[in-house]
Amino acid sequence: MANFLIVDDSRTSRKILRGILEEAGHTVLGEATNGQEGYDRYVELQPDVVTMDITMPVLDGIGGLKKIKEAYPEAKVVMVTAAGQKSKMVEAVESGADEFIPKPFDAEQLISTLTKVIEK
Amino acid sequence: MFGIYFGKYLLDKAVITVDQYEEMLEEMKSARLKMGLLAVVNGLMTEAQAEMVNQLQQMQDRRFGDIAVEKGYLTEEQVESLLKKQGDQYLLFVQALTDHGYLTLEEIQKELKAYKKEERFSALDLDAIKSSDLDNIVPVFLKESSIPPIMKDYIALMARSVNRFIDTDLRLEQAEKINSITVPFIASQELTGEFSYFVGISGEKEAVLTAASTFGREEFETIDMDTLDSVCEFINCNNGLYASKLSEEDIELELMPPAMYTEETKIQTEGPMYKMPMYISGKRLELIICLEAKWQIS
Repeated sequence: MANFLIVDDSRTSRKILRGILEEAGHTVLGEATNGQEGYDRYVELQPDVVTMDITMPVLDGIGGLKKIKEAYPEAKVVMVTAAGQKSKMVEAVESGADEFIPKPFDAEQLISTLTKVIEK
Repeated sequence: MFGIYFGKYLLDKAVITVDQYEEMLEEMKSARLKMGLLAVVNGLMTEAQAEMVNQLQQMQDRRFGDIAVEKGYLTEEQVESLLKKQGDQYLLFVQALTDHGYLTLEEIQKELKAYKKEERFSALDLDAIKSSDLDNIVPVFLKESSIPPIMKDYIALMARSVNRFIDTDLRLEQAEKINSITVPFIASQELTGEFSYFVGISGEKEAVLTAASTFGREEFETIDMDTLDSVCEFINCNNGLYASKLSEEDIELELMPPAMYTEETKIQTEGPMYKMPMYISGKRLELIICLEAKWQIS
């Protein structure tokens, strides 16, 4: 089981994701609503895995990913994305994203992807 | 799906009652089995394969049968056979009307003619609705000649997304060109890149609450930021699918953070804007969409 930080500007997404993670026995240490807040919460909470939405105000998910990976190269960051943001996905891979989770969430697929990241 | 359209007409004309209409819709729903379930029950696919196709459908705007064929789980012939087993919605509805004694076959034919005339449908339009295939039905309601093809594609995708994620009993009405609209609240998102879109969803309170509750997997009772956040997430997922399709043609669109307005909002544009009514559970959602125009939100 792992400790998670959820970074997403959508309350709906955070709530559904939290529900799936907790149902699978994981712990959600905290939530953030943009990339900058996500970085700040990462520093504070040091979770095992971060789920990071891509489209967010203030600082988007790519910005949040870069900040976390620059300071903590070993951090595990999984990008959450509505399908189709191809150029953003390429940028995320280049910036060290560990995996991708598509929206809307499919619980089984999501847990299987995250398990791989945790075991990496 | 045929029953949603023709049944609503019969209801409006007081040929059947609300209770009878709802009863018929329930019967149609239970008569139509899901493709994946049918394939598993008929021993053509394993549950795991059906689940895999369902998962892929979450990420791709494609039919179950098309994905299953591509993955090598089903042949084209097997898909055809399963579609037949799903049942002809038009015939099922006609049979239900006669079995219940609500109308005779002769009366049904008469009402169908009147329905076609009143809605100004061509024979092909009526065939499209009889087919109960959303891909055939959507163009019937995009008759407004000024709608650009790329926007028609967007509206068709949105209809499929509503049908897939919110309500399989979706009913459309004709899209309408407008220059400004005032709505009591709206969930929206802009897309930018090679061209720009403003996309918003408003409508009757009950319809927006249903959409938010179904997609967000929780019960919403009032229109507030949380409710509209859920609708925004739905729009975001739909727009992701749209951007995905366009990226296959090397057209890149960026999804902007969604925006919610819980109070009366006026949207104005110098260019074309369209309003597409979409009924879920009998209540009206409104898709509002602008393409490549300067829109103002106040």
